Amino acid sequence: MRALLAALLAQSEGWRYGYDLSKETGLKSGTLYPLLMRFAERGWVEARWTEAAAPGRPPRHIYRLTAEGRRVAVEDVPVAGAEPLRLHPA
Amino acid sequence: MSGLRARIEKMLDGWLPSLSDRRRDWVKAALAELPEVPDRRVPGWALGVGAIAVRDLAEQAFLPWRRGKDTRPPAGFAALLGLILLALPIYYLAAVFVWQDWTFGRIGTLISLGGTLLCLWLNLAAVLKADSLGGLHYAVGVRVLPRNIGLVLAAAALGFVVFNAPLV
Repeated sequence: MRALLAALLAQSEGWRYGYDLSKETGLKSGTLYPLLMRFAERGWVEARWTEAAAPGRPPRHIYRLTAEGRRVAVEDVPVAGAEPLRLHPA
Repeated sequence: MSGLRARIEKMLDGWLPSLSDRRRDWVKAALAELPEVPDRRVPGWALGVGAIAVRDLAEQAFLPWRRGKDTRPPAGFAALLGLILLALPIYYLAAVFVWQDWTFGRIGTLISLGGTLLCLWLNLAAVLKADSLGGLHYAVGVRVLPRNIGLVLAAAALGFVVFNAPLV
């Protein structure tokens, strides 16, 4: 979870493709997309469809952190040995 | 591998209308990445996406309040789940009441008891939701009860012929 936030934070102003995030974080599709979905439901990530770069390819989903997502990521990602990421805030 | 990729795309694409609104876009998004995935990673990628889809279908089957409006499960999924939930209660009843020496032990009985409870829940949920399984066509569904009774009677007749012993 933290790896995904870190990957998104690394290019926090740019949009990222799902497969690129998978390559960078090592997360499998069965883990990556439920996490992205959860992040989006919490308002940490925004997603939108974009036309494919190559002709004949389907439109792709792209993702980036929201301001709230950046705040959460900055708080939780960079400190080594920090407390586990709070996915269920009180 | 392109044949496999195409088959996976076709199968998962066919499941999209059956998925809940909550997950449909995300499965579609994961599917849209498939052309970018190298051949050696296609099976793993597809398994992950398939698992998300199957989880969604199972949630819709057993948790009616999560069921998408006007969604129907893929025929293969409904048939498989329906047959499993038809077979397990039969196994449980046979193991407990009829062929007590025929079971695979306590684990088999417990698994079949779990299946029986899920079967009862699926039907109870449909009755509580008062939507006749919401258009779901599981083999255990109330709407197809006469066919299920026919299947049970056929199984009983087959059991009688093969084992020369009545099921009930």
